[in-house]
Amino acid sequence: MNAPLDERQIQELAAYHDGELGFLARLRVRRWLSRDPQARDELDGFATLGELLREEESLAVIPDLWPAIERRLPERRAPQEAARPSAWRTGWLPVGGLAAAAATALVLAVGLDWGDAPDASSVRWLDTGNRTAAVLQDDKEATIIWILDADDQASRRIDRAVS
Amino acid sequence: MLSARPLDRRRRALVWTSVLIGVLLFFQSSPVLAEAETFEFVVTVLHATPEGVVGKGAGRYDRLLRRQVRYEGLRVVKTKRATVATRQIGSVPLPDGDTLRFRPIDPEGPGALVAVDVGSTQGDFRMTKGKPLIFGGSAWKGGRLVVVLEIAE
Repeated sequence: MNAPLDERQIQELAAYHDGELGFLARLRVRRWLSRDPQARDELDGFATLGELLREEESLAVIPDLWPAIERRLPERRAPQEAARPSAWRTGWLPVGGLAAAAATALVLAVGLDWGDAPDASSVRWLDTGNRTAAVLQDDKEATIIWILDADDQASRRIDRAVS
Repeated sequence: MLSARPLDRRRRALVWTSVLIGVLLFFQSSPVLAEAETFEFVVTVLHATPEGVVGKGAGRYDRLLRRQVRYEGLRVVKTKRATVATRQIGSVPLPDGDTLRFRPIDPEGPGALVAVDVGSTQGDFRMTKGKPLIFGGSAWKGGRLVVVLEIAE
């Protein structure tokens, strides 16, 4: 019986399914698929999941909430600024949540293959164990990886709950 | 007593010369004997704090970090240079008890593919000369420890 696929293999299949792999990596995955039924099943699973998601998207009615959110922004900014001096722990959270999300997405998009990545990025593979990390920057200038402590994560959950 | 004929001697010499050339060519191209490429790494350990100023030698890193992380003070705790060859492991103990370990796997352009292990975090990174790889976030002495690994230019 084959060993279960590891996280890296699943990521690679996901990248293959999403057409994110380079030429050589695609060939390699095809060879792998041709000899591993478990990998083929996993790939079929991605395809099924994609169809379900597309169906879900087509059914969902997404109201435009931005005008309401925009109206509330000035009201929310004032209390946050007032609370900043005592919120030292939360201050360590990445300044740009958006930047963190973008950088994390970059890591996923980069894939795990050396040849598939854009030249400027450095991260080929990253494992932070049971800790949460954000790739804040990965470009020609620098690569910055920030590990969030349990305190940071608790603060982030509190922020979410408050907001 | 029999002696080898001149033709045999010539043939034997030719065979041995061919074998010698073959052995030389094999070892020349063999990765076993290929000289490992060495890289000079610079490790800088910084302490980012909620108060204080940017200390001497930390300005360059402050310019990179301030855009991403909130802090006030940043000072260099220690700097170490280490020359490490491919397939060797460089190791630098960190003030919080962890150890930074790095191992150049393959030379690549003006840098190398480097496996890095710091605390519970590990990864493979394509490092180029002069481009810092920064790990931050570990709590230490009321602030955060920031570890910078780079290949010296």
